[in-house]
Amino acid sequence: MTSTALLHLRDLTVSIRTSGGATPVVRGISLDLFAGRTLAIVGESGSGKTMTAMSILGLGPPGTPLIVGGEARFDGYDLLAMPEREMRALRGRRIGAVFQDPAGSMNPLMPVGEQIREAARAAGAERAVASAKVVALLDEVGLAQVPEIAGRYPHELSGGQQQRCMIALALAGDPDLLVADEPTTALDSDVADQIIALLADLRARRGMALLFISHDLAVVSRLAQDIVVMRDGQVVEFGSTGQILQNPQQDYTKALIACTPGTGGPPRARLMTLDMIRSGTVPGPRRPTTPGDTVVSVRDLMVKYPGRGLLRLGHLALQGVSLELRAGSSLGLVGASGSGKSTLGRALVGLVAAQSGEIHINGLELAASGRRTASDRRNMQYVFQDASGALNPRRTIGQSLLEPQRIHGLPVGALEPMLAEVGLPADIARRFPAELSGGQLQRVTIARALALEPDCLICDEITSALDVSSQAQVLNVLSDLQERRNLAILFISHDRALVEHFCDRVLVMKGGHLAEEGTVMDTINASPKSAKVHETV
Amino acid sequence: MSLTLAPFAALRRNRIPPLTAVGVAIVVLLIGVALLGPLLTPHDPYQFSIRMDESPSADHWLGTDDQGHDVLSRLIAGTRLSLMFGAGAALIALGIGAALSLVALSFGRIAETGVFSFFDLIRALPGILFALAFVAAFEPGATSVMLALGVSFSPMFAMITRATWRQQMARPYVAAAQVLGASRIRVTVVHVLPNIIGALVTQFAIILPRCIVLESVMSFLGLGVSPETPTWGRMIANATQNTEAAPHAVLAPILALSVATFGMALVGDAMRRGFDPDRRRIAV
Amino acid sequence: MNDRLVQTLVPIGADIFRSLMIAAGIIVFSFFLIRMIPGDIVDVMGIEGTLTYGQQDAMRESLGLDVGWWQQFTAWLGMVAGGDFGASLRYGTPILDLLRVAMAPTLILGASALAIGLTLGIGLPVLACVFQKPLFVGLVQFITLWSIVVPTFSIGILSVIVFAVWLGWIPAIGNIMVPAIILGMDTAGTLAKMLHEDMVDTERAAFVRTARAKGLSRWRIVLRHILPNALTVVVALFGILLAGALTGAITMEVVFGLPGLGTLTLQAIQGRDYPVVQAVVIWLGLTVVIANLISDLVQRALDPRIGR
Repeated sequence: MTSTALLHLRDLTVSIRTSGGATPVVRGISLDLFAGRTLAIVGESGSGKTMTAMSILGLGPPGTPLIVGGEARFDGYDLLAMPEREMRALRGRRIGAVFQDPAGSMNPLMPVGEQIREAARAAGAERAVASAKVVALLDEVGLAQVPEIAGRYPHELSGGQQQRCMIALALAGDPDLLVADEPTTALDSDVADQIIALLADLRARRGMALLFISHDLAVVSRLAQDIVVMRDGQVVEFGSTGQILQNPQQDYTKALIACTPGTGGPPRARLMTLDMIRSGTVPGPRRPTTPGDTVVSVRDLMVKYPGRGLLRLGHLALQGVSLELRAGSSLGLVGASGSGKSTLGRALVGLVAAQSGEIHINGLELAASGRRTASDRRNMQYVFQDASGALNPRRTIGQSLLEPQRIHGLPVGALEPMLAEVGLPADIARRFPAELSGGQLQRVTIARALALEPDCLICDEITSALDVSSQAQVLNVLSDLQERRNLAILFISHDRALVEHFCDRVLVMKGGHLAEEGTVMDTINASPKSAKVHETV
Repeated sequence: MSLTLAPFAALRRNRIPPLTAVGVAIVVLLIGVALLGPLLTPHDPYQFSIRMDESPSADHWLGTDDQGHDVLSRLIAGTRLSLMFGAGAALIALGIGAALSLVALSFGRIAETGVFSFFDLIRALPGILFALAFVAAFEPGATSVMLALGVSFSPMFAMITRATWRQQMARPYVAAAQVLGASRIRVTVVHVLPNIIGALVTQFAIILPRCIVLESVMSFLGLGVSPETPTWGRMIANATQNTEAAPHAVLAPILALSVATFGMALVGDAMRRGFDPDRRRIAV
Repeated sequence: MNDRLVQTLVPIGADIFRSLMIAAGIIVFSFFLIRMIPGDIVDVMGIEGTLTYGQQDAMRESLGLDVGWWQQFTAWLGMVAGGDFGASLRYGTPILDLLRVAMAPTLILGASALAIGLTLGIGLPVLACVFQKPLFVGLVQFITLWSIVVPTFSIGILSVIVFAVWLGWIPAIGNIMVPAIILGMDTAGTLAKMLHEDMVDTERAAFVRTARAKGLSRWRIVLRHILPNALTVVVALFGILLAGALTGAITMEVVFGLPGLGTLTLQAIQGRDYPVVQAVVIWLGLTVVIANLISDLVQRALDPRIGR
């Protein structure tokens, strides 16, 4: 059986050589991928899944010496013993690769058609054939209708179009194996769906094998026949997709499935975590909340960004938005990137000036221009997407947590209860942001936002940079706090499953307008057509 | 991205490169000599003597120049003078560049455009040409040389101030502080200024050796301090008239100048890399 | 399409406008710099005792110094606009002729320094990037360190002592090869330092990984993907590099006794021949402004992301 596998790994180990020895990142991986099949490697950041793929391709990070051990064979070739020159011949022609960040993965100074043509030429296509091949490839990935697509530069394309170009580029050598490393992570969910469908279609049509690497079980389950679950550089569990999803054997796999919103069966009040699975706790079912009084009401909010430079027209980011936030209830705001959902959040706290419209908080009107008195600010707080950026790296966690009280001249309270409320140990106060994980940092910023005891919290994509397990912890903490403090929360996200888990009502934003309003079930499940924001050319 | 390199960067950070250590040692030595100057000189640096153009001996370690001055004593006295002129010029540049640009940045767009047009204008004139023209317009001498060098290097401080300001203002933690209700002054003092000060100190370390060299060049061209004052540049200028008879009198100040700039440049470069690797684009 | 043309042309127009403003600033500056001198040129000559009072008055009249400063300024501006910088007070010849003679050595020195600088400054980092061998990386580090720590001024004087006085290999006056190499090394170091750091950064970019995944050769990855992206930053600094080379050339001319613009300027300052100083300031200043403008425009052409 092993001889027929296209990709065959046995006890693959990868270590990074450092001045003090070697740090293992992959500790013995074995797997077989057969021609024409799709295998997914699933794991959180630091699990070694990307390193596994990159060491197969011989594409380790530059300047970082890798020590690779064990066995890795592709179609019988010993990948680990191959000189770089032969590996180069394999890459592009036999093994193609697609990466996470499509914008950064293409040369910004070269038209995309030229980059695809270069890939075709490198794979051995004649000069005359290569140009025709570019047209055929762009057609194959569904970009034929875009005018002058081959002559465009990467920055002139949308994220979905960029990723389609990357796929065309990876296919230029007609590879037998396509390695896709988190190809949809940086994309909006609707666009990600289209890319997944495209990959499934291409794999079937070309009969190639697909090695799909992702942190997202929900995405993987739609594409892969087999799944390898990785953690800390080791395989936790291996099996067919059905087996892994329906009947996981390991606690970690169970937690990974349960803490991913939208995959864990009936809606629950909290997301499952590994600790819960180990201790056998199961959160209670989700109960409908009864919304309290209106805390924030917004009427006809308009925001226009000024154009840059001479003769540049402004861009209308919000075109008359109205909404209400109620105490103890969460309002979800979904939409593609550029739809204006973050602008709305920023306009509410005055980070962006609104041209017209009204914002009331607890019945009092706030200036739409963004000018706020210190007391205006206390009632409405904001949690940023990038937690590490939102904390000054030169100040300790304790200093950052006490800043709100210092600003408002309030008596400085104790740090322990603030940290305990978000489930963090007290000794974190003395540390600096660089020493904490993303999930811990986001819980710190939540604690800081709550230091002023606001009535309303705006959460802007607060978990999009986190692993699913950290995401579950952050959201559970937020749910606890909402119940305890009767908070009104505006939850901005591009992830529909997440919004479905967390929110009571949801608004869909599209081109600066609120497209739809309703309960979560109505909006997301009953009318998928209008909720889907199709990519426009 | 599951491929993080942060831990490896942290490992590298704790190593002090040997060249940087050499630089630090040179700078410490220079400051020591400058501070203790008069205590170290074996002879009076201003004392003429009939023992002219003597080669190095036990009495005169570095020999004497064409007027019989003890070269070593003049070199030691010159250390303090050259460092003072260089530091004075760099401080003037720091003062003009940082103060003007900070004021302009806090007053908004129009002030910013105006002030930075002024800096653009100075930047368009090659440094030494500006200094030459400036000194020509006023009287040659220590003060006008320092002023001229100060003005011509001021854009370097203004550019770095503006770049750091903009970079910091765009940071999410500045927005976070604004949402928490922090005033403009608090945001500037707590979050922005510490970074600007770090950048300015680094820039000062880079500019200082250039000021010392340019002061020497100006003296060499006959537009610096008065001929009797033994800055290194003056010593070079005087002794080049007489290279064949007393080459040691030229070599000594040139080597001193080279070693000093070598050490200071190493320290400045290490600071630049340590402080913020991205900022090199403005620090040129 | 028309819209795109406007979007391309407007920023270029803004660049040109900004350069014109700076050029105007330099011209005004050079006029008032000379006006700041206490007393006028004739006073200075009078104190030196070379002119009688009658001659002084006559000279003021002939130089147009007997009218108000605004009239002097407009009259002078008219001359400069017509390309006439007036006559040298010292030699009595038109300044333009002096400039023309002095420009040749400076241009040869500056151009050969830039040529050496660009060849080494781009070539060494490219070799270091392609081969990643200690030899080439070491060469880049050496030339970088050289330019940071060795001022062209002191190495220039040392070279004169060693090569001209002691060894007698070159004439003490008029040698152009040694100063060109010294200046070229300096430019090369500044350039190599930035380019090498940028290339090392660019090496980590995701699109370089894509290029490797395509199976491209190392040369192609470096020349087509890494170098162009690293160069966009360096091109922006071309004006500063040129200014640095000119500054260095002025000093080198004096050290090596070359009859170029630097020597001319120095003699003019020492001889209080202010119109010549003025002309040199304007001429060199405008050269730098034009170099900056060209580097801005080239950067726009290289990088499609700018100004869109």
